This record gives sequence, structure tokens and C-alpha cells, in this order.
Amino acid sequence: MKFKKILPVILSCFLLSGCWDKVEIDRRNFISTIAVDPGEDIGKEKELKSINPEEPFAERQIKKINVTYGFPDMSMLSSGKSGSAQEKYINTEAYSMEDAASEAMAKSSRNVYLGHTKLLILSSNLLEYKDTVKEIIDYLQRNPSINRMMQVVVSDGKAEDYIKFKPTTENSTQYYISGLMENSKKNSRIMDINLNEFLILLSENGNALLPRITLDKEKNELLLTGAAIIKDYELKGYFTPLELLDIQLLSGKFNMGKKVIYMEGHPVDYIIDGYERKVKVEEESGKLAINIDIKLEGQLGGYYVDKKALEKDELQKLQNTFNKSISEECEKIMETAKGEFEIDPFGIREYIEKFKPSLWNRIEKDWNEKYKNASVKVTVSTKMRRIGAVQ
Amino acid sequence: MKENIKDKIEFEAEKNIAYLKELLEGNSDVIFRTFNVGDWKASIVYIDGMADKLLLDHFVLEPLMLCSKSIENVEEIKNNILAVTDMHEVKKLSEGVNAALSGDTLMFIDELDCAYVIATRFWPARGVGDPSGETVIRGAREGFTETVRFNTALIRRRIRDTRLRIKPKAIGTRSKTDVAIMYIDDIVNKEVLQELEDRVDKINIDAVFDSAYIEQLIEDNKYSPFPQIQSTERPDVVAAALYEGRVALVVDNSPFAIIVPATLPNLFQSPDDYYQRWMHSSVVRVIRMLSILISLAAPAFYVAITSFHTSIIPTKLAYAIAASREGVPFPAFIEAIIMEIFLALLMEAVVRLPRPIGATIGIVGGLVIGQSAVSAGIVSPIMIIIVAITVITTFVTPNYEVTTAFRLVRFLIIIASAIVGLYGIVIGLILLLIHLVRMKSFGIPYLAPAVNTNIKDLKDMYIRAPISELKERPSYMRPGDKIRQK
Amino acid sequence: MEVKGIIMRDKEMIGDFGLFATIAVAIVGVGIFSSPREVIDKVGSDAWLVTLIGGIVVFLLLYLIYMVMKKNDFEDLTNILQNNFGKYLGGVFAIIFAIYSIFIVSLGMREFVEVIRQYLLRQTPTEFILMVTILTGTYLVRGEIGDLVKFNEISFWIMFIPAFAVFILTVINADFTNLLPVLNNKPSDYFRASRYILFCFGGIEIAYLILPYVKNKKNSIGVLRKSIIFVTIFYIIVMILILGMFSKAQSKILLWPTISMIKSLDIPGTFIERWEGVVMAFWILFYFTTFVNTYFFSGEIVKNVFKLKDIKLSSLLLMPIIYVIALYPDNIAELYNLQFKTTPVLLTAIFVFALLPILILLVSRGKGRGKSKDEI
Repeated sequence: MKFKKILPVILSCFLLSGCWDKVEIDRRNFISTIAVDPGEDIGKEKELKSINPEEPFAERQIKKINVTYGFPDMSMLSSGKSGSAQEKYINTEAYSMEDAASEAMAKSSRNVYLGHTKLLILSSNLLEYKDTVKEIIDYLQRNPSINRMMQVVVSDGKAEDYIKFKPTTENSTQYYISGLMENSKKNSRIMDINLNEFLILLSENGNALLPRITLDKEKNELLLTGAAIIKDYELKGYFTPLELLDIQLLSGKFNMGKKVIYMEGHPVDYIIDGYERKVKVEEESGKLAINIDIKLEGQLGGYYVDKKALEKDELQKLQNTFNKSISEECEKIMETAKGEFEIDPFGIREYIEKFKPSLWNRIEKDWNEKYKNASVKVTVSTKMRRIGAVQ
Repeated sequence: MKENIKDKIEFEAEKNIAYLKELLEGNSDVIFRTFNVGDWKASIVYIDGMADKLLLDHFVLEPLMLCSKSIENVEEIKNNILAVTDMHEVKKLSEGVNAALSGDTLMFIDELDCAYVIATRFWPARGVGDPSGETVIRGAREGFTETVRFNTALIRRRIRDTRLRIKPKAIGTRSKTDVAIMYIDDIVNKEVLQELEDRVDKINIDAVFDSAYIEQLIEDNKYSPFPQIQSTERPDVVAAALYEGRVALVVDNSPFAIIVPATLPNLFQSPDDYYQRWMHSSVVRVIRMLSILISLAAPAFYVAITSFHTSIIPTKLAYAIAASREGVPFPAFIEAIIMEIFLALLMEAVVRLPRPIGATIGIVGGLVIGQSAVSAGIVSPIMIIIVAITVITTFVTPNYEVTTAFRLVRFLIIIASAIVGLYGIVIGLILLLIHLVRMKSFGIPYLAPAVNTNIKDLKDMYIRAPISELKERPSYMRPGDKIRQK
Repeated sequence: MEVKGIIMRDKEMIGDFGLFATIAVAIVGVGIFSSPREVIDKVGSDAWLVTLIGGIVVFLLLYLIYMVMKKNDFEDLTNILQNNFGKYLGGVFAIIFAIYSIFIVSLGMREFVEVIRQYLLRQTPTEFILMVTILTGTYLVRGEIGDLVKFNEISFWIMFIPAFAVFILTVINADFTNLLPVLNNKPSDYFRASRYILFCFGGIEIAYLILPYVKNKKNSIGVLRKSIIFVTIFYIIVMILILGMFSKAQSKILLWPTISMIKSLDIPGTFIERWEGVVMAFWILFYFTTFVNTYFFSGEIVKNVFKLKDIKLSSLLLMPIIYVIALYPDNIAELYNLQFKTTPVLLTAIFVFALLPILILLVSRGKGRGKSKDEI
């Protein structure tokens, strides 16, 4: 009985000392976009290496990165309205992501909150500095409250400009870009990748493909233009949207898309909606032989008024032409990827590791060499199941 | 002070009357009548307003006074002359006086050392009407009244078994309220019955006004907000309980019978569950369970999400809530508390008001005041929605006492959530669960059949299986006769 | 008198489901959130295989416990120890058992509170959360065994039905080819990984507490087997799903892969967009059941050894001990060190789980029938 009487006394002591984690929702600043650019002092990596770890006041004004936080302006909304508001932004310069967050708090009248962030823009300039990129990636992995489903893109040029951009159809850049990414499901020229997948890819071998956005200042348009190639935490090059489509085909992540050939001067469109891919890797006389087998299904999109697609061998001819054209394209892309960039976005390595473990154990040490010198063969078989509403 | 009535019945009727006149002096409704029966003097005592004067006049006094010439023996009066069905002898004066004070007529005859008690109870009583709280869509509309005998009759009509027992007790030293303990002899759990009788015998209060007094005096745990005894106005509910092996107490002056033991799942059942078909009933039961959870946790969940864990809700919703809270002066927690208090006040007020005003106040209070509060910016509209959801889900439970218990618990959980957010809600719910798990009602675990689970019992708990499948009585009640249907 | 009669009957009547639920709920606890990292680190995609082996080993240990109980007529543990080893030595063994259990569960509480702090409540002081949890546990422990088992029965449903719902949702996004290759590791790796997986199965000692009160003692071995199978399958599914969501590489880095897996759940169009908060709430129950069962067990032992009247007193004694041990590690690295790497802890574990039952069996065989009756 005594126990029951002491209990309220103990608990009330804690109650009176306050509720520690409480932040009212209208005091929060919901950051929707983070853009990271290199700062002024980013080239001063040598100077940083000379700092003694035990030296006091290590926090100096080194402006390594320039981080911009974009958020909807909540004070514009009042009771009754919802959802859409003008985007504002806070710009900070700091030596790390964590520092940038605390700088932002000093500049904002509300509590900076990263739990609902939807978009991360990394500037292409930033990706030339490998060490800083690694630091940023570590922050993203370590922070437990960051939204792992947020999308990651690479921007051409300064990322800050992209946050300031005002698209015509949406209120904020973030909505616009995520809307574009949604469309990637219908059109495999665009790939979308979220932070979780990005981090997983990086942690395997430091390689990844990130979607790339470009700002056309004259026409005031923001476009998704292919992918950026990250190798070993550095930006190595770009793929155009067409190349990206082929890469998706080869890597097994294809959704829907279209391909075109030119027959007698007229473009023939083939809309692909069904897709199957098989990979086979063998070792022949010390060299790897990679065989990829792609089966496509789809329908005829556009031809030419005078031509009749139902004619006997017409479809067969079209299919054969597509076969050759697509497989040559794919082989070229693979050569570029492995020869020039030395990356493996196609999942070949995973395939070997999983399905041919004995082979993997043998070649693991020389993987890069073997991969570079491997021979590639892509066989494509297309089927046009439907030809639309007319003959 | 103990009442002091002597026990001896004098041989002379007039002496008895003199004693009674002294005992009951100052009462204008105690009527004495002395008359002659043949060669003997006789007298009767009754209470005006509680005794049936018509019966007395025609079937007691008339035959006694008119046919008394031919009597040779005092004993004959009882056997040949008194034309009443219900009468018995008493040897103790105190018993006779108690009977008289209950509406019977006490008769003394010279040369008899016993008195006759003639059953003449008749008083103004409410007719059998709709039970006030527990209405059903299909099923009887009979509800108990304030007379024990009528109530037991309503129950007996549903159990025409020779093994039904209606044991009388008088509880309350001054009120001497008639209480009937009802059970079915071969089904009842004998330990529970014995325990109940022991506890009832220990009651030493002077007056019992309603079955609620008895309920509160015999319950297991008075410090818990949850009732451990079921009270009902419906005879079919009582009959069903008796068939499960439970014991019922019907109390005079109270239209509420109490049933013992009661588990929490019992309190969540409505007779409608059995009168509708099984698919509908199963769905309704599942909805009821969900609504308990919602009614307990909804305001606390709102407080936790908006103040602590904003990452859980979709972004657009977060923006909507943040926007709607722009300019609201109080933090979410205070808002929730204010709304809880306001609701409690409103519910109390509506019950006390006379009927036509009550409905209007409900609408005025709810709609107008709520709407104005939102427009004035004192409360956010989302809070109003949460409160409305809470109220609706609270009243899905059929039992009013459980509703009040939940209100209390909900308040505590809101406070817990205000301190540590979602963790507070979970700990609060765990504490509630521990409290319920530890409770017993007359030896039966309070949460049976969810605990000590027997697969057979689950057919009637979370869902309701078709009646043809409910072949056995619930085993957690440990009844005597287990088979219900073959 | 009658009231006591009813209560006493409850004490002896723990049904089959009660036993099943108690074992399942006492074992599944905090371990499943942290061990996947270590196990996958050592054996990669064979983690599920190691889990299976762990399950088999644990079943053998549980069978040992059952044999001990059977040989000694299903008496209370303290009585068994004192009957077989004499009053003082038996008491010492019992206290070692209690101390070990409390130690492990207090460290588990610290880990639990750390996770809560990181994901749910960043600024609330650890002491407060510890106090609240310990007090809630004490409220349950002050009841009887029947109450504990009832609590377990209900918690079982509350824990595992949403868990399986989460599994089904994760399966949609998982890539099961991550489970290959199979058996591509050195045998020593398997051995090292098993240390971590066995930690997940801690809690089987609760059988010592419950078996004396089980209604249907002959059936109990079958029920024990079913509950171990259930827990093993549960753990295997978790391992498989983690491997499926993250590949081997990522799982090595994540500190609590199970939580990260749940964070990556995405069910469009529901009221709750990111589930980790809600799932964390369920996880509180996972830990709490393990904690409260072990707490009760240790309280019983202390009560029996020191012949205290009531478990209420022994629980009051244990409360500050748990608090102090939970606050002892300075940070999470030290915590993991204490749990897995310190030799005294490992040796005690082996002693308590493996050596002690074998010893008891040997001694019982020698002694014959020299037991004393315990009046409940």
C-alpha cells in the first residue's frame, strides 16, 4: 500500500520537469528539399589534413559545402487551406552536413525538421570531390531520422538554382521532380532511385547511377536528362536518356518504354510493355563470356498510312530489324560501360556471386580486369503482339 | 441500533394489538381492525397504501365475519374460512411485523400462539416498459420494474425448468429490502454461488436503495474503474446468464438486476449479438473491439503525432495539420484536455436536463460551441474531428459503466502521451492490460476467455459462430452441466 | 476460505496455450533487432541456416530442462537445486541463475532504451524511460504466476499478428535472390556466428518457472517443441527478409537492420506513411514481455532462496539492481562488449544453460528419491 502512495509523488516530479521531446507541429519547419553544392573552401583539403585532432576549437569557419534547404512557407497557409504553398529556402555554408543543419536552425524561426524531406539534389560540381562526398554519404547513412525513401538526383551545375526554380505546373521543385519521376514508370528513359537503394549500391562498391536534371534557363524548363555515373564516389560521366533505356533493359529494371527504327525513311515506333531478361556468364579460356538474353513484347505505335502491318511477312521483318538494332545498341552500351567507365550497372557481378559461387571465388580478386576484358553478346527477340486499332 | 421487537405472540389478540400500537405509534398509515370470528376475537394489522384492501375486504373479512357462526375450532379458520391462496403462519412476532411492513396483513386470533400472515401486497407500480438503456433491434422490449416478484416472474417465464432456484434474502438492517438470488441448480458454478452468499451475508448496512449498493458492497476490487458485476434491465439477458452458470440478484425497488460473475467480454456483449445472424454479429463484434482501441487512444495518438513523432503521417497531412494549427494558442495536449473536460461536462448536463431541453442543448453545445471555438481560433478543427470520433466509438460499447471507466483511462493515456509520446501510449495501454489481467470477478479471471484460452470458447468471443455451432456452455465459467446443444 | 480455493486452483492450471505463449513471448525480444547484423556479417546469406541450427540447439537445451523437471517431479527450481546439492550450494547456484538473468535482462533494457531514444524520443532522459519501464514491470510482477501467463497469452496475439502482417508487406519488396549463394563459408564462420544467434534465444529458462504449474504435464514436451519451432521459424523469416531487403553488404553496416527494414516499408495511400513509429510501439511489447518474465523468474528465485514471504519484497529488492546495471555501460559499444564478448558472462551462460541441468540430472540419478514437498 505504501508503494502505491509513493508512486504518484515520484511520477509527478518527472511530470513537473517537463516533456522533453515535445515540439508543436506548427513550430516545425518541414524541409522538403536539400541541395548540396561545393563551398568556397572545398579545395583546401590539404589544410584540413594538417589540423591536429586534439586541438581545441576545431570548429572553424571552413566553408566546405553550401547547403540549401527548401521548405513550403507555412505562415502563408491558414486554417482551412492545405497542401500547397510557396517554397522558400535557407542557404547555409558549413564544413559538414550536420553543421549545415545547425546553421539552418540558427537562421530559421522554426524547428528545422528533416523527417519529411523528399528530395536530395547533389551538384555535379560537388561530385568531383571524393572525400567530401564520402563524408556526406556517411551522414546520410548514420542519421536515423532521415527519410530513406527520399529521391536523389544529380544536378547540372549549382544545385541551389534548382531549388529557386519555379516550375509552371507545380508549386515547388520537389513536387515537380517527384512528379517527373513518377512518370518513369511509364517511360524508362528516366530512372528513379531513392536514398535507400543509392546507399546500398554505394556500400557495395562505390558505384551508382543517379538521375540527372538540367535547367534550361532560356526556356525556363527543368528536365530529367539521363543519368550520372558515379564510380568510386566520383562523377565519371553521363548517360543520355536513350542510353539509359538500354541500360535499364540490360539490368533488369525496365518498365515500359519505346524504341524506334527507320524503315524507308519513316520512323516505326515500338511500344514495349512486356519484358524478360536472362543472364548467363561462362568462363572460356580465361576470359569471361557474358550472354544476355532479352525477350520483349509490345505493340506497334506508329508506322505510315500507306503501309499495312498485317501483311504476311511485314511484322516479321519489323521484328527482325528491331532485334538487330536493339542488340547492337545494347552491346555498344555494355562495352562503353565496362571499358570506358568500368562500372557494372547490369548486375553481372551479383549474378556470378549468387548463381556461380565457385566461379566467383576464383575470379573475385581479378574481377575488375576480367570484367573489362569480357566478351559480350546480347540476343534480343521482340514480339509485336498488337498493332493498334487499324491494320 | 438494533430494532427491538419482541418475539412472543400472546394468546389474546388484543394484547398483541396493544403492543403493536405502541411499537408503531405515530404512523397514520398503520391500520388496526378488531372483529369477532364466531366466539373468538381477531384483529388485523396492515399498512394503508401497501396492502390490497379489496382482497382483505372480500376474501378475508367477509368470509370471517359472515361464515363464522358455524366454527367450532380455531384451526378451522385457516382451513375452511380464509379464502386466500397465499397465507402462512408465523411463530415469531418480529417476522409478522416485518411482513406487515412489507405490505402483507398480519392477523391475530385468540387462543392461537401463532399469527397468520396473509399476502396482500399491492402498491402503485410502474408497468413493464422498454428498458431504458439496452434497446435492441430485434428481441423483447420488456424491462424490469421495481417489484421483485414481477421481475422474477419475467425471468421464470424464460426458464421453466424445475432446477431454477429463487432464494430469498432480506438485506439492509433497516430497509430489509427483498432480494432474490436466482440460479439454475445443476448448471451453476457452486463455488461462485457459495462465495456470493458469503459476501451477501457479510453486508451490514442499514439501507439498500438500489442493486447498485449491493453491487458495490460485494465486488472484488473497488479501486478499479472497471465494473466487475454486470447490471441489466432486461430479463432475457438475466436468463441467458443463468443458462451460462452465473448467478443473478434481483433487488426490490430496483429495475436493475445484477449478475455475478462478470468478465469484460460479458460487458461488451449486447443481446442483439444473438438475435441477429452470425455474419452480421461477427462483424459488429470486430468493430466493437476496434472502436475500444480507437476510443482509448485517439486523442492521445493525435497529441503524440503532432507533438512528438511528426514523421509518421504522410507529408500532405502533416502540412494540413500544421496549417490548421497556425494561430491556435494552446499546445495540442492542452487542447485535448480541454475537449475532454468539455465533453464530460456536456454529457453530465444533458442527463440532468428535462427531456425537451436536453436534446437541444446537445446540439447547441456540440455544434454551435464547437464551430465557434474553431472560428475563433481557440481549437483546431482536427481536434473537433478527433473528439467526435472518440465520442462515437465510446458509445459503441453497450455498457455505460464501462464507458465511464474508459473515459478515465483515456484521460490518463492522454497525459502519458503528452510526456513521452508514443511510448507513453504504449506503456499506458500495457498498464491497463496488466490491471485487467490481474482482476478477478468472484474467482473467474476478468479477461476470460481471452486468457486461459480454450479454443472452444473463442467461437463466441471475437466473432459469433452460428448458433448451431455453440454446442457447449462457456468453459471459463466452469459450469456444472456443460452441454447446451446436441 | 472459498476465495483462496479458487485462487489456488488457478495457480496450478496453466493450459497448453499458456505455456506456448509464455515460451514464445519470453524468448522473442530485443535480440532479433541487433543480432542479424553480426550473423550476416559472419556468414552472409547463410544467416537463416545458422538460425535453424540455433533453433535445434535450443530445443535440445529445452529438452534438458524438461528432463530435469520430470526427474524431480516438476518442483520449483530452487527446491530442485537445494534438494540435489544441499541447502547452501543449491542456494548459491540459484542465486547465480538469478543474477545472470537479471544481468542479461538489464543490459537488454539498456539496449531497448537506446533504440527508443534514437528513433522515438531523442531528448527524454534515459533514466526516466528506465524508471517508467521498470515500474510498469514491477506492477505485473507483484501479482501471481497466473497473471503473468495471462498477460503473456494476450501479448502473444498483439505481438505476432501485426508482425506477420509486416512480413507480408515486406515480402512484396524483397529480393529473394539475395539468399544465394548457399554454404559458401568456412565452418569456423558458422561457429562464430552461432554465438550471436544463441543470444537471441535467451529466455528459455522461463520454462523452469512455468513447468511446475502446467496443467497437462505429459503434453508439455510437445508444447515446448511447438513453441521452439514457432520462434525459430519467426527468426528465420526475419533473417530471410532482411537479406532480401538489404544485400549482404548493407546489412553489415546497419546497426539495427530489422528497424531499417521496417522503415523502408512503403504502402501507398494509407493514413500512416512511415511505419517505424508504430512498429516501434509494438516492439516495446516484444521487449517488455521478455523483461517481465525474466524479472518474475528472478524474483521467484530470490524469494525462495531467502525464504521471503512474498514476491513483492523480492521485486522491490531487484528494482534498483536492474536500474543500476542498465545505467552501467557508458555507450552502445561497451554494451555490446558486455553482452557478447566478456568471458565471465559467456562462461556463466554455458554453466547455467548446459552444465547445470546436466549436473542436476546426474545427481538426481545418484540420489534417488529424496525430495521434499513444497506447500504452495
